[in-house]
Amino acid sequence: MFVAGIDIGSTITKIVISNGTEILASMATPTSAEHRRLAFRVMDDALASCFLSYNEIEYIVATGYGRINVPFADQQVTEITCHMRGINFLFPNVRTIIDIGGQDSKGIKVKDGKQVDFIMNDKCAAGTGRFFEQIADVLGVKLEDIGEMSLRSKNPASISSLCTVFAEQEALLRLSEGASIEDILAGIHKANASRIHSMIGKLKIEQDVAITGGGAKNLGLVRALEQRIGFPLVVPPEPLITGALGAALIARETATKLTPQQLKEKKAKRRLEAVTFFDDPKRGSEIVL
Amino acid sequence: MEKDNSVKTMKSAKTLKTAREAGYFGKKMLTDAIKAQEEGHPIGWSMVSWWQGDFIAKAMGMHLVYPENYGAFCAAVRQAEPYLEIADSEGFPNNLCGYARNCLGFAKSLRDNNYVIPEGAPGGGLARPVLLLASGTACDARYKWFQSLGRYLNDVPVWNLEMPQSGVKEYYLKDNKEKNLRFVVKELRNFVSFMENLLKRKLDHDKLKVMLDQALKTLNIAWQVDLLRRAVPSPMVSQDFWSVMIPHFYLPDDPEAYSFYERVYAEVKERVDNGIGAIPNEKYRMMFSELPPWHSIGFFDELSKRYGIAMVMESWNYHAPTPMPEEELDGVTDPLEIIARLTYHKWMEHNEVAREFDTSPGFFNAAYLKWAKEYRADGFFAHPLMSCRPATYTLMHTRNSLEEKLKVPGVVVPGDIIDLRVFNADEGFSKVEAFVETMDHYRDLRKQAGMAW
Repeated sequence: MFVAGIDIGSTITKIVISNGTEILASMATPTSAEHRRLAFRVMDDALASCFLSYNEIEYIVATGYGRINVPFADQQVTEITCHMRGINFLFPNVRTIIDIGGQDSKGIKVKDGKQVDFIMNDKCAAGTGRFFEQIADVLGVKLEDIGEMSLRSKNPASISSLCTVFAEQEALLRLSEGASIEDILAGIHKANASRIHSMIGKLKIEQDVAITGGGAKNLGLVRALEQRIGFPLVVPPEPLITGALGAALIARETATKLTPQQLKEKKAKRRLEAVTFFDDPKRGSEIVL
Repeated sequence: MEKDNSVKTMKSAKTLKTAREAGYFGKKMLTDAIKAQEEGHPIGWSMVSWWQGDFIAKAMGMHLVYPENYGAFCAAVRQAEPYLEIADSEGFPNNLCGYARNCLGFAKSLRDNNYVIPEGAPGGGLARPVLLLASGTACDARYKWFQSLGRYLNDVPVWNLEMPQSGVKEYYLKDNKEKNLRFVVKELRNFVSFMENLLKRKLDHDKLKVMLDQALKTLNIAWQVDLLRRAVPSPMVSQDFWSVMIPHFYLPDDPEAYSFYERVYAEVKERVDNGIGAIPNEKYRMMFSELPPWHSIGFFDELSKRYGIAMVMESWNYHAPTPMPEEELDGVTDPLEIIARLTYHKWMEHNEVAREFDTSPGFFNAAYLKWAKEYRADGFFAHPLMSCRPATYTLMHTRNSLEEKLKVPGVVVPGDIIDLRVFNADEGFSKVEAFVETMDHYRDLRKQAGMAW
C-alpha cells in the first residue's frame, strides 16, 4: 500500500511517499505564495522519483499551515499531531518535542504515542526560523552557516532583546562595539534558546527531548538549547520531513481502516487539476472573518 | 464618528431565540439614559460592582450606564478601534485595559464636541454623567481609569466602593465574615450620604427594598438557567450566554429582565426536556475563561461547526450567584446589609471548593474545579487578555489545576476583549484543532481513572 504525507510549511514544503514500511521518496523545497501549484509540482516530482502515479497512492494526508491548499489531499491534519507522530515513530522514548518551524515554534508532550499537551509561541518571531533568517541577513552571512559559526564563539555577546527588529539593532550595535560575528551569533542563539526553553518549560519537560523542524538543522541552536535544558537533545536524521512522515503514517493508518470501495470513493474526490490560489471560485465560500 | 459599514464582522448566530433578543437590554440602557438626561435626570457612569452601588444610585433616581458594557458593545459592532486610536494618541499605553481605552477615547470625543454625544456614536453613545461610580472589586486598573476620566469630564466626582477579598484561611477565621460585612455596610452608608449630598434628595429605603427583592428573583432564575445547562447535550452555549447575561448582570432590578429570564428558562428547559442540544453535533464540552473576544463571538460558532465543541460554561464572575442560604437573610431588614451580603456572597461563594482543593480564591480557579464535574467538561479554553492582568494571571494556574486534579486539559488562545488587532482567529483554530486530540486522550484517562465523565 502506497501512502503520502505532504507538509506545506511557511518556509519549506516537504513530502514523504511510503509503502507503509519504508520511505520511498522524500523531498523538501521552498514554499512560494502559490501553494496549490507548488503542491502539485512537489507531488509530481516525488511520484516520478519512485515511479508511481496519483492513483497508486491509496491515501494522502496534508499538514502544515498550508494544508488546506492541497486539492488532492484526502485529509488534513495539524502539524502538531503530524510532528508528534513522526517523532514517536522514529524515537518511541521521546516525551517532549520541540519543533522550530519557519514562522512558529512549538512544544509537544507525548505519552504512549498520544499527544497530551502542546504549546505554541504567540504572535512573535522570536525562536522561529524567520528570526534567524533576519539576523543572518543583517550580519551578511548564510543562514545555513550561522549555527556552526556561533559554536566558534569564545565570548558570546549579550543580546537582551528578542523582538526581531530590536535584536537586529542590538546585533548591529554589538558589531559597532567590536564584537565578532561569531560572538553575536552565539548571543543570539543563547537568547533564543532561553526563550524557547521558557515556553517549553510550561509543559514540564520530560526526557527524552527531541528537536525537529528547520531549527533542528541549526547546530548552534541545538547546542544552546541543550545547555539551557541540561541534557542532550535527540535529533532526527532529517528533521525537515518529520511532519510529512507523521502525515504519511496517519495516511497509512487511516487507509488500512477503509474498505477498497471507500478508498476508491476518496480518490474520486481528489482534485488533480492545478488550480491556482487566486482564481479558484471555491475560495469565495470559505470563512470570512 | 462615521460608521464604517465595510468592516467585516464575526458576529455569532446565537442558538437561542431569546439570546437573539437580548441585545435589546444593552440598547435600552443607553437610550434610556439619553432620554432621561433630556428630561433632566442625573446620569452616572458605573463600573461593574457586582451590584454593590447600582441599586442605591438607581433608587435615588440616577440612570446608570456602564462603560465596560459599552466597550463590549463597541467591540461587538467593530466600532471600538477609532476610540482606541484616540486613547493611543492621548498617550494611554496600548496594554491598558481595553474597556478603559475605549471609554477614554469616547470621553475625549464627547469633550471635543462640547459634551454633546458625537453623531454616529455606537448605540447612541454614553450620556454625559454627573457621577463616576467606581469599584475596587476584581481589578486594579479601574482605580486609575475613572480618575483619568477627570481630564475629559471636568468636575464630575468619582466615588469608589471597596469589597474585602480575603483568602480561604482568613475567610474561615472567627468573625471574619461579619467584620467584612460591617465594613461593606459602612462603605454603603458613606456612599448614601455622598449621594444625598450630590443629588439633594433622600434615599427611599422602601423603593430600594422593592428593587432588591426583584433583583434577587432575577438572579435566582438566571442561576436556574445555569443549572439547566448541565444537561448533555448542552441546551445553551457561550454564544448565547454572552448576550443573555446582560439583563441579570446590569439590570436585575428591572421587572422586564425577570420576564426575559422566564422566557430564557422556558426555551432552555424545552430543549433539555426534548434532548435538544444548542449545537447539532456536540462532541466536546468545554469551559471558557475569562472575558470573550467581543469582536469575534462568531469564532465560537466556528469551533462548534468544525470540531463539535459546545462551550458549556463560562467565567464564574459573570454568572448569577447561587441563591443565598435562607439563614443569611434571616432578620435582615436593612437593604444596605442585604446588598452587602449579596455582593460578598457572590465573591466568596466558591470558598468551600477552594478549601476542598487546597487552593486560594485569589487564583479564581475554584468555580472551574467545581463545574468541570457538574458540566462534564472535556476541556478548558483559556483566553488570556492582552490588556487585562486580573483576567489573565489566574488562567495558567486554572489550566494546570484542572489537568492535575481532574484530568481536564486546557488550551490557551490569547486575544483581547476590545482590541481586534491582537486576536488571531486562524491561530486559534489551529490550536483547537490540535487540542481536540488532547481532549480525546484525557477522556480516556478519566475513563481509566473511573471518573464520572
